[in-house]
Amino acid sequence: MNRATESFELRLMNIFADEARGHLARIAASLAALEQAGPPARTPLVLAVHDALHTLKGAAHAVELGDLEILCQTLESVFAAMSRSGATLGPGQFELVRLALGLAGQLTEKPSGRVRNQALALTGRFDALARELAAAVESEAGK
Amino acid sequence: MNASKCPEHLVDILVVEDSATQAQFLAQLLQAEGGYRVRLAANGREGLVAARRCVPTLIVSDIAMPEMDGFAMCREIKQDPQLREIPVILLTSLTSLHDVIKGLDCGADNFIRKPFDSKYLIARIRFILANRALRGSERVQLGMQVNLAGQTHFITAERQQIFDLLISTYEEAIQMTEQLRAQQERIAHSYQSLEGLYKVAEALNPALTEQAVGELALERLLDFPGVLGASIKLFDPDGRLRLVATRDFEADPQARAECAICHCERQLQSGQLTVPQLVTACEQVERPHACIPLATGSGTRGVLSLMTADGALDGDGLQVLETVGNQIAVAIERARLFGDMEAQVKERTAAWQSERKLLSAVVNTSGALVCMVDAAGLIRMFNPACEQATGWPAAEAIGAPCWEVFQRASGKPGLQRFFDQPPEHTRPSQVRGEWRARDGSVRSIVWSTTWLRRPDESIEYLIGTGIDVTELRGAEEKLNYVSNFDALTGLPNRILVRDRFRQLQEKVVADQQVMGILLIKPDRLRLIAESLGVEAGRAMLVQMAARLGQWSQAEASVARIGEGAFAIVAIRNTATELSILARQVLDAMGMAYAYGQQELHVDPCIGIALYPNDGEDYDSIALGAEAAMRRARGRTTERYEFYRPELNQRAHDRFQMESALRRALERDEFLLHYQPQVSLRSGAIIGAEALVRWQHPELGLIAPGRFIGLAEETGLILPIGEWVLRRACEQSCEWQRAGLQPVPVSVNLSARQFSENIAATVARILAETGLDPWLLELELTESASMDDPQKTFEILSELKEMGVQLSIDDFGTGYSNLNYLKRFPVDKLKLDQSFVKDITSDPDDLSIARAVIAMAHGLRLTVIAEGVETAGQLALLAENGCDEIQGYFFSRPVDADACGRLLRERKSLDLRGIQRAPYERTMLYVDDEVNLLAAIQRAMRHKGYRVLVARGAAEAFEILATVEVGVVVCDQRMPGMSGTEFLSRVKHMYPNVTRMVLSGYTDLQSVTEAVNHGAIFKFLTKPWVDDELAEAVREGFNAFESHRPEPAGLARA
Repeated sequence: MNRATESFELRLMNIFADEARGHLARIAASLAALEQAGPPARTPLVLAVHDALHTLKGAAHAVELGDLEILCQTLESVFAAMSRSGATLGPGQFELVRLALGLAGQLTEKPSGRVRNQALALTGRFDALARELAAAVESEAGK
Repeated sequence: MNASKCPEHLVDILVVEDSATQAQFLAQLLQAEGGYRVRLAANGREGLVAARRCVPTLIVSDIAMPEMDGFAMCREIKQDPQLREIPVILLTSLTSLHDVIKGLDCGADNFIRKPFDSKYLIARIRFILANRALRGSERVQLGMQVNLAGQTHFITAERQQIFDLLISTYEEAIQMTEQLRAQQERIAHSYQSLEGLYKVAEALNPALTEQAVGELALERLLDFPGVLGASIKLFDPDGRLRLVATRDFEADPQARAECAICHCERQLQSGQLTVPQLVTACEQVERPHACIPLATGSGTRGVLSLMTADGALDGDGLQVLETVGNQIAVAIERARLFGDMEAQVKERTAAWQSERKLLSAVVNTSGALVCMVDAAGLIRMFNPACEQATGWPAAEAIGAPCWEVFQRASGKPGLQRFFDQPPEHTRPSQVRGEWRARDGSVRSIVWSTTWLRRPDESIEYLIGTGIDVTELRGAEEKLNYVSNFDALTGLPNRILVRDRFRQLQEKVVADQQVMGILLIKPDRLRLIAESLGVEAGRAMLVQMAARLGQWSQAEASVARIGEGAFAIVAIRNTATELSILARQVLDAMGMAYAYGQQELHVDPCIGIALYPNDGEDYDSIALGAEAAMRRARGRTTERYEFYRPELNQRAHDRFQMESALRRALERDEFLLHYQPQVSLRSGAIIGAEALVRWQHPELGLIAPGRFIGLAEETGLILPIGEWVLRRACEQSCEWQRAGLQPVPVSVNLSARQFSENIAATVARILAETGLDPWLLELELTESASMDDPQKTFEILSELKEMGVQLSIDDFGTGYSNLNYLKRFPVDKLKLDQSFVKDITSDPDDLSIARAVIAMAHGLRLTVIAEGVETAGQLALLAENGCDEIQGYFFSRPVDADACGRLLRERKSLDLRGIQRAPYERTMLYVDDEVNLLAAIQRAMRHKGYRVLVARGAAEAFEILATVEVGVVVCDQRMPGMSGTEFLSRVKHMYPNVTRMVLSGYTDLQSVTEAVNHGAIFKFLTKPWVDDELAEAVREGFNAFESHRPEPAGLARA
C-alpha cells in the first residue's frame, strides 16, 4: 500500500489511536452491560460489540496492524455467532474477552513479541469458541 | 433543500465512514492516487446531509455505521430525485449473500470488498465515473424475486446496477483466486524454505570439518526455492577469504584465478554485510546473487553466495537464508572447536603416553618397590623390584590379593584388615617390618603408603613404595654387633656395658638398690699366653666368658672390657649380696680350664665399686672398681675388694660367719632347746617347741636371730632345718623311751623348707626315727603360708594326711587370706608374741588378741599365745579364752635334759593366779610419789575397801589384769604416761571401772583433756580432803557396781 507521506502515516496513526480507544471503551461498556443483561436486552448489546469490533478491525487493517486485525476478526466472529444464536458467554469467557480487549489496547501501539504471541494464542481460542457457537446454531437449526 | 452542484471539472467524492482511520486512509488514497476532492461523513445520516448540501460525483460508503447504515443511506439517496444519479459504492466484506441482496435492494451501484486493494478501488472508481453518462441513458428498471435462506426478496434494480455487481463480483472472485494462488505459492515457498532449513540443519549435524560443513550445506541449499548455485568462503586466521565449497556457482574464472576481491567480499570484510543482500553484479559474478554472511553472536566466519532465479528471493526468503547462514556459521564453529579439541586430545594423549612411558621406565628400573593396589586389595601394579623382593612374577601378582603376595614374617594377619577398615585420613604412612618372600626367605622392607581417593572421598588405590633394606639391616646389625660386642667371646664390650649401666641407673635409684661393677681380671692369663701361645690365651678367654655367661640376666650384664678384663654390672639389694656374687664368680673362675691335654688355672681377682655410693656414672664407678681390683690383687685370702674399706670388713665378717655356719653343721655345733607349752585348762605341759641354738666354739651360744637370716640367704637353712627336724623327732623318741609322758614337739619350718619336698622329708624322718606322727607339730609362719596359698593348701593337706599336727606361727603379723585360712587343715594358731607383750596396757593389742582368739575358735582351731611373761598377760589371755600359752612366765626354752625333767616332774602352771577371787570393793591408786600412796592407804583404811597401789601405769595395768578393781584413782602427772592417757586406756580395756584423777595441777588443759577423753568420773585436786575423797570413792563404787555384770563363772581355768 502506498502512503503519501510519513507525516500522513503519523497523523493516521494518531487518528487510529483515538478511534481505537473509543471503540475499546464502547466495547468494554457494552460487555459489562451484556454480562448483567437478561435475554431480551442482550441482542442490541451483542450487536453493538460486534459492530465496534468490525469497525476496529477495518481501522486496524488501514494502519496495517495485522495482529489487531486478526484478533478483532476472531472476536467479531464470536459475537456474530452469539448474535445468530442468542447465546451468551460464561463468566470465564467474558474474562477471556476482557483479556483480549486489554491485549487489543496494547496492540494499537508498538506491541512486544510477547503481546503478539499472547494475542495469537487468544485468537486460536476465540476461533474455537466461534466454531462451537456456530455449531450450536446449526444444531439448533437442524432440529 | 436544493443541493448545490460541485464544479464540473472537479470530481467530488463523498466518503461515508464511521471509522475515522479508515475514512482518513480512504480520503488520502482518493486524493493522492485519484486526484479527487474528498469529503467525509461519519455515518449515513451525515452522508445524506452532506450529499444534499452539495451533490457529490460519487459516494463511497461503509455499511455498518451508527445512526444510519450504508444500506439505509443508499436507499435514501436512490429515492431522492436530486441524488439518485450519484453512483454509490458500498464497501462491504461480502461475507453474506444478505449483504448483496440488501445492496441490490437499496440500489447500490457497486460493491467493493473490504479489505480493498487501493489500485483496484481507484480503477473501479475511474470505470464508474467513465460510464456515468452511459448509465443514465441505459437505465432499465428490472424486478426479480430472490429466495434466500428461506426468505423471499423482491429486488428492483437497474440493468447496469446488476451488471456492475456482476463485474465486481467477478473481479472479486478473480482477485480472491489470485490472492489464494499467491498465498498457496507463498505457503509452498515457505514450506520449501522451511524444509530446506530443516534439511540444512539436519545435514550439518554430523559434519565435523569445515569442508564437510560447506559441502553438505551446499548440497541442501540447492533444494532451496530458486537457488541455482552456491559457494561458501571462510575467513582464514589471517583474515583472507578461502573458498571452501562451491556448486554450480558461475564465478569468473579469470577473476578467480587472480584472486580478485569482489564487491561482496569487500562489504564482508568492512563489516557492512551484516544481513543477506541481493547483489546484482560484482567483479566475480555477473549474475544477480545473494550474499549471506555466515555470522554467529561472536562474529562473522565467512560468506555464503547463492545464485538465484530472477525474483525468486523476497524478504522472507532472505530472512530464511539469514537463519541458514547462522546455522552454517554455528556448524563451522563447532567443526573448528571439534578440530581444536581433537588436536588437543591427540596432543595430550601423545603427552600422556610419553609421560606414561617415562614413568613406566622410572618405575620399572627403580630399585624401589612400587605396588599399586585397588580398593578391594587386588594388586594392579607390581614393578620388577617387587618381583625381585617377593619372588612373585608380576604376571601372577597382578590381580592377586595383596595379602597373599605380601605376608608378614610373623604370620600375623594385618593387610586384609587394612582393606576391610581403611583409615579415614589420607596421610602417607610408613610400615616397617619383616615380610616373607615366596621362597620362604624373610625380607626387611620399609613401605610408604598413600591412599588415593576419588573426589567423593571413596578409595581408589593404595600406592605403596618400598625399600628392601634386608641387606642394609644385615650390615647394620653386623656393624652394631662389632660396635657393641667382643668378637672373640661374644660378650658385650665396654661401649655396650656402659649403655646397660646407664639404662639400669634409674631403676636402681627407684628401687633403692645398689648396682655394682665387678671388674674381673685373671692374673695368670698373660703368663699362659706367653708360655703356651696366644691361642691358648684366647681359648682361656673364651672359656672364661662362657663361665661368666651364667650371670648374664635381666639385671646383670657381663662384658669383656679389655684385653684380659671382664666386668659384671649387677643389681642387688645390698652390698653384701654383691659380695656373695663376687665369691660365686671367683669360685667359678677359679676352677680348672682344659686346654688340649692340659689343665690350666687362672687366678682371678675382683674389684667392686657401687652405684650410687661410689660415683655418679659408669666411668667413675669403673675407676673405683679398678682401684679396688688392684688392692684385691695384693691380697691372698680374699681375692675381692670393695672400693670402700668398711664394706670389705662387713663382707669379711659375713663370710666368716657363713664359713662358720657351714662348719657348724659339719661339726655338729647346733643343739636344740625346748620351750614347754601349757594348757590354760589344766595347767599341764601339752607340748614343747624345739628351738635351734648354735654352740659356737668361740662365741658361745648364739641365738637363732643372729644366724637364721644368713642361713636363709646361703641356703644353709635347708640342711639346718632338716637337722632340727630330725633331732626334735629323735629327742621326742628318747623322752618316750625314758618313760616320760608323750607330748608333741613342734618344729618351725622356714619358707624355703616349705616346698613340695617337705612332705617327703618329714615322712622319711618320721620313718627313720620311728616317731608317731601325731607327736610332731610343724609350725609354718603366716607370711610363708600366704605366699602361694593354693600350694600351701596342697602341702599342708599332704602333711595332715600323714597325721602330723600343723600350726600357723606368728599369726597376726602377716596378711592372711581368710578364705584360704579356713581351708588350711591346721590345728592351731600361734598368737604372735608382739601382741602379747603389751596386752595388759595396749587396748589395740588386747583387741587383736581377742579377735584372733574369737576367729580361731570360730574356725575350731586351738590358740596358743607366745611370749607370755607376766601374770597379767596370762590372766588377760585366759580371761579372753586363749587355750594354751608358752613363755618365760612358765618356762624359758631349756635344754633337752631340763625339759625332760619338767616332763618327768609333771610341772604344771599354777592356775590360781588366773582364777578370779570373789568380788570385794577394791580401789587402785596410781601415783609415782610413794608418800602419797601411803597417805591414800591411810585415808581409806577404815572405809572397808581393799586399797591397791601402783607406782606407774605398767604396774597398774598388771594389777588391773589380775584383780577386779572397782575404782581407779590416778595422778595426772606420771612418768611415761599421763593420768588421762592411762585412764583412757583403762576405759577401753575395762569400761565399767570408775576412773578418777587426783591432780595437784588444776590447769585448764589437764581438766579439758580428762573431760574430752571422757575417761574420768571425777577430777579431784591435791591436797585432798579425806572425807571428800572418801565420798567420791564411795560414789565411784556405787557407779561401778550399778554397771557390774554378774559374773557367769568366776573360775577361769
